[in-house]
Amino acid sequence: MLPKLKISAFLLKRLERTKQQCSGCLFGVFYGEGTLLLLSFNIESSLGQLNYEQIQHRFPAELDLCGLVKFGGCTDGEAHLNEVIKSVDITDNPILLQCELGTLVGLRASFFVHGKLEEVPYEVMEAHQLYNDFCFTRLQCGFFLQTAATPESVAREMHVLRKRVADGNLVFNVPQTKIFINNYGPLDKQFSGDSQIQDLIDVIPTPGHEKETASVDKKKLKGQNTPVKRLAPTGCDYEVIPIDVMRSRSRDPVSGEPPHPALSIAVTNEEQIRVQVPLEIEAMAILCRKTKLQRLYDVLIESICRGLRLFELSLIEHLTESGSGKLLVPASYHFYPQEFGHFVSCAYLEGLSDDTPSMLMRRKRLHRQFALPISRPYFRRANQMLFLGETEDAPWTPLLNTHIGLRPSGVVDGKEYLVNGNYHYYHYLQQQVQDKGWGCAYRSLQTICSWFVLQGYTNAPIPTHLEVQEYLHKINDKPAAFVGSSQWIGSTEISMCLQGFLNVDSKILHVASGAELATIASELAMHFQTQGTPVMIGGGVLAHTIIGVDYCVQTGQVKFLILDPHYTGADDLATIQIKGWCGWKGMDFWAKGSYYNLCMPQRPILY
Amino acid sequence: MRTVLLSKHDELYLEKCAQENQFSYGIIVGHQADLTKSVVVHLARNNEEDADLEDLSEVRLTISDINSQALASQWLSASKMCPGSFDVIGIFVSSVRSDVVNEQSAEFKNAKKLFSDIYDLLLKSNSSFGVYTTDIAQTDFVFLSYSLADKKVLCKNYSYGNGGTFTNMEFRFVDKPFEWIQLECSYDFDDVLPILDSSRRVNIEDQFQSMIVSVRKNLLASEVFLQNEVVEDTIDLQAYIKKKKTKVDKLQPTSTTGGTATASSNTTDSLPRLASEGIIGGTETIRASIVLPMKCQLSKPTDIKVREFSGTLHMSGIITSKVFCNPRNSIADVKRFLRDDVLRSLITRIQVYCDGLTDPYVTNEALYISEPPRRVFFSLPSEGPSASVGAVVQFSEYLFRGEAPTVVVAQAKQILDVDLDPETISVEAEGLPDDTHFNNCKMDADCIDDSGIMTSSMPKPELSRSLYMVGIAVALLVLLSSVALHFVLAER
Repeated sequence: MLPKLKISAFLLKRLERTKQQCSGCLFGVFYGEGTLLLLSFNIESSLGQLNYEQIQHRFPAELDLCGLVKFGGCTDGEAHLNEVIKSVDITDNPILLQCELGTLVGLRASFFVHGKLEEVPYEVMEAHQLYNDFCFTRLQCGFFLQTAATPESVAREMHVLRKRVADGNLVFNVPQTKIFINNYGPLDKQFSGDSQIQDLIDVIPTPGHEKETASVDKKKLKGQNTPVKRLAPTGCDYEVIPIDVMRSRSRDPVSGEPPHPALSIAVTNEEQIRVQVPLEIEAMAILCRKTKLQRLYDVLIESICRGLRLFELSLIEHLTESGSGKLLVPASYHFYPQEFGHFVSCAYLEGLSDDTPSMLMRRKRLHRQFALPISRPYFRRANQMLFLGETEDAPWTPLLNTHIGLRPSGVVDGKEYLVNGNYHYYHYLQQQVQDKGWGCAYRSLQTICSWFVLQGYTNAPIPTHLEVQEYLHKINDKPAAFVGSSQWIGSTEISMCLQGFLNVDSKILHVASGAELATIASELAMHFQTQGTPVMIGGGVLAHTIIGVDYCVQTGQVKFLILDPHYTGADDLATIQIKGWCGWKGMDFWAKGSYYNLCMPQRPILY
Repeated sequence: MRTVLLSKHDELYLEKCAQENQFSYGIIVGHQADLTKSVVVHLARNNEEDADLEDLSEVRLTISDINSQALASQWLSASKMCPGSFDVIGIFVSSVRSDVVNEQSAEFKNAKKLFSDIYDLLLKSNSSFGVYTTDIAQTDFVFLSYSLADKKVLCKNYSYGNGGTFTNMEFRFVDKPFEWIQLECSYDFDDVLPILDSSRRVNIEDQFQSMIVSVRKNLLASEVFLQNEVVEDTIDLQAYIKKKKTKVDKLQPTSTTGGTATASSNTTDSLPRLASEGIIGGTETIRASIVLPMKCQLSKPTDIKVREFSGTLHMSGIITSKVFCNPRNSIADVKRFLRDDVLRSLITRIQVYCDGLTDPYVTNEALYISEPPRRVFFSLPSEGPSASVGAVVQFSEYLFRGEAPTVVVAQAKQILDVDLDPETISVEAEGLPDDTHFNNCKMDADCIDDSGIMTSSMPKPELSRSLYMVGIAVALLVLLSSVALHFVLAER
């Protein structure tokens, strides 16, 4: 019987955007009673070494190679069809997708049945279905790699480590709980043989903020009937189960056999200098919530092995490229590109910054393999997912994405064009800075900078008012007396600061009066569609941040999603939304007698 | 106020010591049942001065004449022989004179100085290889004094610090035997530690010290399972056993012949005692397993970095652990006893091994194998009525390869004042150290070294294809044979 085929909506969008004739490998999850869910793909080069095997190690465990996708008139030979089909092992029927260039019209899905193609229908799995049906595990454990600094030795010792991982002696534990799982299943009595992953999720306490979360849960449950994602990190709608790893150090005596030998200790003098490299593995796996807990052990073992593989490739690649014979400590980074709908893991070495030529080359290759544009970063360290419990020690940060949860704008037949990504809401009097009455543009600049930081374009700190003034004086735009003053700045100064602090160019747009803002609505819509950055607008004595427009092409009606930096109260989301400090504003919001300048930051070419 | 519980056998032993030697002293081996009760497991007279006492009996009859060094040595040796749930908890003296039980006598005041001297000696000896416990070291001890003339026992609690103080302590001779539940664990070593010492000659004692610190750190962060299940720390062992027994009874509904409904002990004179029929602890040993966290650094994340080394310390083999607990012990205490037992056994065998080294530096040999002594177990011989029910309490000693059990007999006599039969010593818990494990590692490395290719995690599909080819070849062979046979038969 052929498996039931489902395709992620995220994957379909990515397939639609591919506009060159090529081929790639498909990766999916086999779950339930025989359902294959396609989640991801990569672009294979038509010449040279195929990279799907290395790509698979970057995916969470259970997301495996399952077939091939061809775009346009790509031939079987160019697609390495036979080679890829042989490598599929999670199903006896590899999948083939045939897709036209730049469109989903004519998309055909076929299974290989005894060497012949059999076309099958497919079902689209939307985002909310994915979030409700699947979850991830995030596992942390440590090893010490003892090796010589040569690629051969690293490969050999990592192989030994993987064997040790699979010897059946590991025990998995949910942190802060007494939930343990060994190779026979869960040890806790509350779980039975039929327990599922969802049962495990239900009993895991929310990491930190128990009381606060409880009150928030009550509010949400009253207003909405959607299930609460207690374990979902910020920016991700999947729940992530944390896992710690332990190792059983006990061996039971076997009756009828001689007793195990007593402790002995060997001191070995190595012929060559060796090094000990700490390996703090972080590994992920994707699981259907209805998966039985009995399978969790094997899945977690596989995720560790993939993490070790990533570390191994990273170490060997560095040794081969640098030729220095020096090993660096690898670290795991997990990224969640919004276009993907799943996690991607990378192993980066400490001591190599993101802008090192070798690191740039690797990320560029990743972008090409995943058909991602090179105009925005996805795999820089700053883009990594911050999981629950990790940000408890972080310093104070403003509210995040305050527009989420707002009521519709009310524009008839309108279409929303919103900021693309995360931002922090900066406003008056934060951080004990008495900037009421004069600091609105500075706050707008801080909000824009936070967008670039959260999207991974930079690690630079958010500039303070004083730093902004010092920079403007440094470039001779302002006199020395400006530093430390309470003077306003406008769009032009904002663009200078963005260039100076973040190396970001901006487009300046000018309108003679507030009434003319309607004429640039389409341009703003295009900006949010292509760039997606917050826009600073200054006019008269005020400055605001525009984070979206709702625009009707036919009628010309437009409303602006305004993030108002003049707010002086506490960081309370309900107040900010109800009082309209973050809300939709119509044309009457703008003063007709004032001219306005808009600073529209442009995405730099960065990856 | 803590209460010390002694058995009738202990009372007889004190009387016997006074009758035989006029003045005797020794150590008290005990067990902390709960926060308020200590159980005396064994009293052991110090035998190092026996010969001298016979000649100078008129001189060494006071507490001030006690050799604190000899007593501290016995204390330390007995601690090494105790399972993790037991420890030396104090000192006893037994005399024909009555002033040893008189708190106002000058004789009694000398006991305070004796405790202080012994405590200082113990601290000095513990500093060499580290403390024997994963918990806070004890600072309260029991002083037991018996007078044959008055047939009286005086019991005091000694607290170290500020010159030392004696406080009142209740004691009671209990008629009913104590109940012990045995827990076993086998801790498996397979650790490779780098030798970070850059000097050419390696001081093996320093390396062992680092090893012990590493093991202790891991044990502190470990988790202990009982019968391969997670057990809550707050319940006591008795409740756990009842739960297990209830679970077993449900699995075997036909076994209704038990019928022991009467709970015999409501008296305050002894610890609560479970019915002996069908007790898991009474007839079976509870197996425990220790699980260690897998982290590079348990306490200092900032120390994670690449470090060079030119040698390794490879530990391989097992440490067998047996502890004996009281039903009123909490599960948390049980886990701590197991951890302590593993650590104590490790430190003891390393210390015994190092005492025999003539040179602490390792030669320039490529491989230097150390064989610490292995652990053997023995039970205290029972004299007269049994002092305990349930599991029989066992102590341990350590034998090098080639040593005979008679070494244990002599040591048990000297330290614990018991006469053992060599045949009753159990030497089967741990096998002889196995050197082939280190050689096997090298062989494995050599085998893996030949294949320089990075192995793929993907399964090999060629294997199934080759099987198909073999099958097809066999089928063709059969077909050709049939055709040939057909033609041969047709010609005839």
